[in-house]
Amino acid sequence: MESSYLIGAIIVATVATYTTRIIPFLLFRNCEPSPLIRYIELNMPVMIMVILVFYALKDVKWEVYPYGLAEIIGVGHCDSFTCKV
Amino acid sequence: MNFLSIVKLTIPVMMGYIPLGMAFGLLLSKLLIPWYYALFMSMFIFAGSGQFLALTLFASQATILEIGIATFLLNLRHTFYGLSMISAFKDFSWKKHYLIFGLTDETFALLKTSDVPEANRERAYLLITALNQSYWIFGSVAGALLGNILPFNYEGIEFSLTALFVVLSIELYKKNRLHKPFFCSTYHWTFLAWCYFHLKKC
Repeated sequence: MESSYLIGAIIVATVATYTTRIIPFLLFRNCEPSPLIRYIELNMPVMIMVILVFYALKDVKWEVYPYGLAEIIGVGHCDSFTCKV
Repeated sequence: MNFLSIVKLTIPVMMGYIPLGMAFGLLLSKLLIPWYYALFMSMFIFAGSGQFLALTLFASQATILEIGIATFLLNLRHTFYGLSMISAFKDFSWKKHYLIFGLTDETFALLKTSDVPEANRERAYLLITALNQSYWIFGSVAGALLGNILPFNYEGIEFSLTALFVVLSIELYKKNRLHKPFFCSTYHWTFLAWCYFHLKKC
């Protein structure tokens, strides 16, 4: 892989990541977030995570042996790694 | 809060970041990328799932624009983390830019849940963020170096990303009082995945 490609990609990813983190501080510098924003804040992360799960599973070959069995078992066991509250 | 008690506070993050960072480093060395790119990525990007996604996109030779958009969308959730930190960071000096930079899922969770006394709060927050990042850097560099030395069977290591997302989904689901958003998005994405699957066969 070319180093110019990697460096360019790292710079772009750095800017993109930092942008997502600084946006609220620029937008809501002087006011308190509204109830709607609070609602989004509370529920958006779950939605995004579910999207990401489907994204990560998009290349599984369900139609050929072993029919994604490894992924099904793996996802099934993920629950045992979460914190028991 | 003294240094030691802050270190103690960050131990749960250390337990998560070092293995996950190592998985990242191993994956990076599998793609034959030199180890110091793991250092750069963990120093400047500092986003767990974002860095995994970047590696996946490197492997498929995605364009830099695609990498930028995908990283932005993936990390958009951090915007909503920042929303609830505005009042907490309000009176801090210019150093809060490092806190904003380092507002990852884990750091956010730690800052939100820990009881740091009002006095010297800025210093404590900065230390927490810096410690978390140092664990992440350590893990990813160690993984990248180990990947060069040890002959590993890497088959299936990319599943660590799927597992991370599933675990985070479950954690968020458990933390959330409203379960409707979870079911709505699962339902919609199952439907879309089904459509995608059938269209691909045509």
